[in-house]
Amino acid sequence: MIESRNNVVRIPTMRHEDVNAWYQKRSVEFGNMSPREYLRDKSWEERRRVGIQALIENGVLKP
Amino acid sequence: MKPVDLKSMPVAALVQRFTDLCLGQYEAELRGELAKENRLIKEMFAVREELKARPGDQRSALLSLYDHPNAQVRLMAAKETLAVAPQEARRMLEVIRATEPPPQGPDAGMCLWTLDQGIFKPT
Repeated sequence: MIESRNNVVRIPTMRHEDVNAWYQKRSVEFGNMSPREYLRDKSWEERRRVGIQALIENGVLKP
Repeated sequence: MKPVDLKSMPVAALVQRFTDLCLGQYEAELRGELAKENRLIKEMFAVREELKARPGDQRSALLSLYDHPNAQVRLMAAKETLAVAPQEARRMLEVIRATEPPPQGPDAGMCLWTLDQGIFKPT
């Protein structure tokens, strides 16, 4: 699933770093955890939803 | 390092500490110092909890930071006032999303999305 064609997207290195950093930062919206920690026990669907939205917000994917 | 006694600090001093921690986060992010940034975020959460515990929930004092020149300060103030001023905080997040470059712009956008999805329920 992770390496399947519909789950992999080429993005500029800087955008990758921005999104990666966001995943590691603690935030109030994820219960004071980082998004990565929050998603650890969540479903594949929820992880995918968050990931796609993160790419949209960072201008990598269109809404 | 001497621990900070938040309980003895007046509200104005807590707001100043919140501001200083956000400015530290901004600088740490510019340098790519993620561990330091997270440490400062955790300390900021402690300030938020102390403000929340004060009579009348003094997180409202953070509303004064909405016109701070630093985007990280405005972003964190908006996130941490969603429970006490939901409309104003949401508007501030929308402005940050529309006008600020990464990381603050996308961060504000993700916060709005988690609100709309029901992932984030401010209390």
